[in-house]
Amino acid sequence: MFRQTSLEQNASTDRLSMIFMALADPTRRRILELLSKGDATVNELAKPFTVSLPAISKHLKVLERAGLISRGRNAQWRPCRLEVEALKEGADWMNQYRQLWEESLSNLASYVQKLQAQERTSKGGEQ
Amino acid sequence: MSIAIEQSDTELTFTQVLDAPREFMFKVFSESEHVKQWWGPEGWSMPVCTIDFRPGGMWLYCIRNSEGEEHWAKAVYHEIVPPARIVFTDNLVDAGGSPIEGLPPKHVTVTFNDVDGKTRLRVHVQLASAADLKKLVDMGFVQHFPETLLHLEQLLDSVK
Repeated sequence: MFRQTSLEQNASTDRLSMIFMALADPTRRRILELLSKGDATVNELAKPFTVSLPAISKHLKVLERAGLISRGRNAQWRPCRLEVEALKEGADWMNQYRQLWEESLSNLASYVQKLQAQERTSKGGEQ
Repeated sequence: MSIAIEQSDTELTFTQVLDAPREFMFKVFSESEHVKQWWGPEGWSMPVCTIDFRPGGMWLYCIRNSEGEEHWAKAVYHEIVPPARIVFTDNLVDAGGSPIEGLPPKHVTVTFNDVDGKTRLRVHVQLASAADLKKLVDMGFVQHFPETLLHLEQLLDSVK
C-alpha cells in the first residue's frame, strides 16, 4: 500500500481488489497450491477436481486477470505458472497495516516524551 | 518504551505504556495538530488531517512521502468515551474519497488505562466486524478471509 505512486494508485488498488477477489474462492486457492509445485496444463490442473474443464478454465482466467498466474503462449498446451510477486502483494497488505501502527506508535512515544519535556521546562520557567 | 504486539488471523493488538496521564494521551489521539505529528510510518508526512471528533464523525487523512507518493484513508468514529476509549473504522480510500472495493475495513478500538499517572495504551485492530465480514462474504469478496491469508502464507513458504 505504500509503494505505488499516486498516478498508479487507482490501477494498482484495483489490482489488489482483483487479487483478493481471486483468492476468495477455495477452488482457485487450491489451483494456486497445485501450481506452487510447478507449472501445469489445464488438464493437469483439472484432474483433482470434480468440476468441468470449462469451469477450471474460467477460474484460470480470474487468476490470470489478477496477475496471480501467467500462461505460456505455446498454443496447444499453454502451461500455467504461479506469479509469486502478485501473491506477495496480497500478503504485504496485512503486514503494511501492522507496520503503519507499529511505526506510528513508536513515533507517538517520542512525540509524547518531547511534549512532556516541553511542559516541564515551561512550568519550571514560570516558577 | 517497548510495544507488545499480538497477532492472529483477523486481529492485531498493540500494548504500550506511555509516561503521560491518560487525559493527555486522549488529547494526542483526538486533535489533528497532535495526530499530524505522529501518525504514519517513518519518512511519511501528513499533509491532510481533518478530524470531526464525535460519534459518526470522520477522520480524513492523507500521508505523503518525500517522493510525493500519497495514500488517503477515511475513518469513522463509532464510540468516544473521554478519556478512556475511542472506537473507529479505518478504510483506505481513493483520491475521490470512495472506499477501495475488496479491502475489508479495519475496526480499531483504542483504550487508555491509568497506571499510577502513566497510560497503558492498547490498540486493538480487528480486520472487520463480524457483520462487515459477513457483508463481504455475501458480496462474494473475501470468503474465509483468515483462511485466505493463511493459505497465502503457506503458499509463500512453499515457493520460497
